[in-house]
Amino acid sequence: MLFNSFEFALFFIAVFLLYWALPRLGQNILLLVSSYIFYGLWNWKFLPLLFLCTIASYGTADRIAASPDAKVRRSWLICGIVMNLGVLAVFKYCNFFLDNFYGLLSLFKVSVPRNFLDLILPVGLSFYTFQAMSYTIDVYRRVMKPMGTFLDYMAYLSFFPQLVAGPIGRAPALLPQFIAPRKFNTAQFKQGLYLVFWGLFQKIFVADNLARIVQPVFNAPGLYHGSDIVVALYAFTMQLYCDFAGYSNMARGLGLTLGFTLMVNFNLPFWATNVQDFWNNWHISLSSWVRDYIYFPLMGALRKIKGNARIYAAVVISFTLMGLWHGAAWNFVVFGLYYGVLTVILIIMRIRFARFAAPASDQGQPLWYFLRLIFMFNLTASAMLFFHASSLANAGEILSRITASTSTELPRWAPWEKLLGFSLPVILMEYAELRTKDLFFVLNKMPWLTRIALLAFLTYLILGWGVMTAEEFIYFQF
Amino acid sequence: MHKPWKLITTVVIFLVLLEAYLWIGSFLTQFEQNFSNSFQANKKGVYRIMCIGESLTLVGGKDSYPSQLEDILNQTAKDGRQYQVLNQGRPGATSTVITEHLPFWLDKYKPDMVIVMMGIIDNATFKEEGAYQNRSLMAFVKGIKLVQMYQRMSEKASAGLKDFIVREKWLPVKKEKPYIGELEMFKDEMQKQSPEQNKLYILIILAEAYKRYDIADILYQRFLQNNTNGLISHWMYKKYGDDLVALGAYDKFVQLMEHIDYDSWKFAWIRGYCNSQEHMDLVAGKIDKMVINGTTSPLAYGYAESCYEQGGRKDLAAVYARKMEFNTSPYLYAQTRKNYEDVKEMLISRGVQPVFVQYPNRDVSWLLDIFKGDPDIGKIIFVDNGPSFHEAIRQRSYEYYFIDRMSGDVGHAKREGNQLLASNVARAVLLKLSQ
Repeated sequence: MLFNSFEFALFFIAVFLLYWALPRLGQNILLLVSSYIFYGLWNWKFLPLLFLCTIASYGTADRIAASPDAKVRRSWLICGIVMNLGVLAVFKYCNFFLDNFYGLLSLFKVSVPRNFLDLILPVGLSFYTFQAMSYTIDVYRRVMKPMGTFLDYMAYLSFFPQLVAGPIGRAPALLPQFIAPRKFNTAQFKQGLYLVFWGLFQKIFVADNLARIVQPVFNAPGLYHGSDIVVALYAFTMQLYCDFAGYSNMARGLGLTLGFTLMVNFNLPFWATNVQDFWNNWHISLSSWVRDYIYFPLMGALRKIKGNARIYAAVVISFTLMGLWHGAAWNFVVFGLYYGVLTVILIIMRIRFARFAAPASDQGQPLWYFLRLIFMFNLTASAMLFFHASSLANAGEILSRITASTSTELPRWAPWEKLLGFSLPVILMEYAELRTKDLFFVLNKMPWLTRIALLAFLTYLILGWGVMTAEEFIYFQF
Repeated sequence: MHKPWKLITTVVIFLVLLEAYLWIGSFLTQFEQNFSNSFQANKKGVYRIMCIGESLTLVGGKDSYPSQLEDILNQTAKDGRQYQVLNQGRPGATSTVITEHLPFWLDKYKPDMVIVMMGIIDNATFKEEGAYQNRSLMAFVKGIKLVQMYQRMSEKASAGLKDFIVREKWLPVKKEKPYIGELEMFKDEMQKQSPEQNKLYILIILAEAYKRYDIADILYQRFLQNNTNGLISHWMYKKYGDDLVALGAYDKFVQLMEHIDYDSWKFAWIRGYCNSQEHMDLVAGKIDKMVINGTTSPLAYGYAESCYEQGGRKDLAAVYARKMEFNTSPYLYAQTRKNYEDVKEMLISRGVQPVFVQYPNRDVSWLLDIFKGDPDIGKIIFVDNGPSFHEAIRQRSYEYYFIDRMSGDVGHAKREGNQLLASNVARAVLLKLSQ
């Protein structure tokens, strides 16, 4: 069931009404059952997998907390991580490694039968295994104590608004919310509805419409001019953002209507002026996960390296692994590597050319800020080349088309006006959010009638111009 | 203000504003279209073509088919004429609405040629349209854009929900008694058959009942050799196919497939692939190809659906369930036919060249069928968008040419789809004009 589908609307209304009629225990049972139904409707065969990850993280965290002995704690930690990573390795990365292994063998002229596992990637696997691991690690690091019953934890890990595409929840912030009683709060409910609405707008009006510029070009880059490909790349950058941020907003909004506050996943990333700033605000639940559970431990492990080289190494490795999180393919490795290298360049620049590296703001130097935004957007769009490509070779083909001398026989398309038209509402709304520093500026800062007029206008755009065929979200494949 | 009142006021104002935006939006689209068309219609000494239809004609701006048609005509025509194409597509217009507007447009724009591609919006509820016209309140309610939108969306939603329920197997599937339907169906036909054939038929049933498909195989061959009744042959081929599958004789399948052109035989062939599991992935491709090439009816999608359902491929089963639903719904109603005839009358009587375009991916024969026996048929240009689109889709994909599947087999075209459509129209138009 997709959030932007009719059956999900019915499903959620039923859950919502029942939920607020129940006491806390009943609410958690309802959440658990509905989450398992939600996941089972994708493919019920993967429900045991979800359960396995649940039990692996809960059980090991419990054992870790029960033992004062550092060695015992450590071995349970490894056990928990191996189980979760193992599931991920088998279902997501096994064939990739096998493929590269066979490739390596053939380099040495060794021929073996090429066997692959016949598996499909369970939806949301990368999201819930990471969420599960963070709990075990946090208990091991004594950031938190194990809390709640197994039922609470099962409901926490399978919570359907965030199950299949995040935000990747963190136990210290989210798990207590499952244990404490929840009260219906009208203000929170309104905010939730607003976020769901805004997420739907980003998905149905912006992302799915932009997809129509992107798909034909990327399907057959050979038939298009370099300028067409540049437009498509920009369009894809906006599409991906609105697709994923839209999903995250819907997830947060649904959570709020049920009395849960989920992590903010995107905080105006396109208004950031350097790479670091960008990643602090883009897919925050993943970037902070990587920072806390990969980058910091790496910094510890690499302490023998002297000077800044240690930071550079840790940054590049962390970003590369984060790239690989998106999918088992070399183009994602390059995607991660690209950002790792950019970050290293930024750190070096910060020492030498402070003015170019420091974050800028629209107050005071609007032109400088604007130029920085354009530059950053181009950096992001370049990364999308590797993100969207089906393989490295494909990325190369598209790249060479951009610079290739264009034949005059091809009709020029370059639908700049569509790209701008569909992106403009998001740009304007985000600028207002930037200036008011309030995600809910529509609810909090706008006069009543203006607010209704705006919401009615956005609704008009969805109904009149939106894509009503319940397109899948891009991030479901990760 | 009191709380409930505030909520009600909010909702009312919201809805009123939304309705207003919808009107303004459609007014602006219409205004832009009228403005540019009126502007162009003042030009003298050009050959003016007006394209009428619904959103499939309108949508796309410079990517729309009328716009591309103008480019193609002006680039390729060697007669020195300058062509001008007006886009008079009306989003959501049934063929009745278009037919009613036509005299007005003809007076206003005075085209030399009118290209008609209409009827896709017509549907089963379409017949009621006339009944509402005299009742002013009902007409008013139907005129509210939100009501129209609600109707369209609730139709879609209930179809979607039905889809979902079928996909998730929430409804029990009826099991039929074997042979009962068959006996009922053939009780009259069998009386016309020779006693020899009937005996063979009974033996076949017997062999099948005991699952002796090897014996049935021999009997079928004899039965079909001497059979003269097309209806029975049709049915028997299908059963024979089932038996060969049960026997695992796939080679025999393929062999006979080459010679026989019955749909039913091909269904059986599909089933064969289906049941052999390892061939299951080929089924979709085979069926798409057969339906698109027009060698078999869209009912074949039903076979693909049941095939995937049994194989546990629910996602694909759902896709084919939809395809079947869309493709088998009749898209030619009596009123649509009448509208086509009225349009033709109107154009010929005013000396305007009529061009009737079949929608992409569809069979042109039903358009020809409307005007069968019409004395004016020689004056009409027909444009066939069947084979060229079948081939193009086969080579690339449906999604390459189209944005959506508004009507199942066809929907709004992308630039690429409209380009192909425009070049088909251009070819037909230029051919006629050069004569």
